[in-house]
Amino acid sequence: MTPPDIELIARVIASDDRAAFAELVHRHQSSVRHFLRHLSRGDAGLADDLAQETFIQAYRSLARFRGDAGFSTWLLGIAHNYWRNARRRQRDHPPLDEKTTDENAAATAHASDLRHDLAVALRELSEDEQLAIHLGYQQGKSHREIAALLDWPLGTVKTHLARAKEKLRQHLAAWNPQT
Amino acid sequence: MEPADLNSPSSHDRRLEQALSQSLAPLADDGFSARVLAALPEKKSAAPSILRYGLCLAGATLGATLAVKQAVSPEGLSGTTVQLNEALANASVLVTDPRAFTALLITGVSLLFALKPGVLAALIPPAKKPTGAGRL
Repeated sequence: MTPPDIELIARVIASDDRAAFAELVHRHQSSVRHFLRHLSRGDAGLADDLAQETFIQAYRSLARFRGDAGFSTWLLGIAHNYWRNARRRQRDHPPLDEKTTDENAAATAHASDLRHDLAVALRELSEDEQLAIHLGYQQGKSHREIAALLDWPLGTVKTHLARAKEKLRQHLAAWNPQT
Repeated sequence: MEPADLNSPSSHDRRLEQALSQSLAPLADDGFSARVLAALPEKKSAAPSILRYGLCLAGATLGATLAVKQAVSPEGLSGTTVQLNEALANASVLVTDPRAFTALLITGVSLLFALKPGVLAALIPPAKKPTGAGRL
């Protein structure tokens, strides 16, 4: 039986247990790296550098983790801050286009026809709508968690998700012939 | 060929949400966790703590010895209020004495090391390790 996050966190805080922290990193690396790859438009190198900094910062401030949100949500909040700082420094942040599409979308593009159409449809959404969809559906975060993580009002989260889903419905109307 | 229930709006939504939630395959670790562990700050060792407490003990002992030797005469401990007042007055005058001042300074610095561990860390910073975040 694997210990819950909160137990591993307690071990790191109490005795600087590196094995416990390694387990936390291993558990959450995929989620954090996916999130940063999404934000950086599939730049895996930048995303992994930011993910590494995210975990190091998490290690340093672990004692301040209050457990109000899940550990994963807390990590994504740190990752989001690092990405915002990185973007400020990158004046020539490339806009979303065909050449810089999310590599995950590309990787799954041909997994099925629906997935392929979905990947194309997602690119038509605004940046904020994509972010809301990524966190809400691909990362499985609740509306409240998204609001806390991105520092958005709860209503804004719901609006972005509703608009995004409506756009996706329209783009994917071919999958629902009666609409 | 798609299943028949795809023609209802709710099933379309469910299918859409299912496709969204399944569109991210977990990323393989590929040594990422090991790189993070290697870039973590050094483990806190017991050495600075022993050094701190050693400095504190030696400094406090030295400071207290010098202070007692300089500030309090044997007569000052004899018991009467007048004598005690005189001893305290002598002690306050002796604060301006360089030797007494040095003793107090040693005691104060020792207490600072003992009560504020960050002071020692700031004076002897640990060697920095590369984090691999070259892009930032």
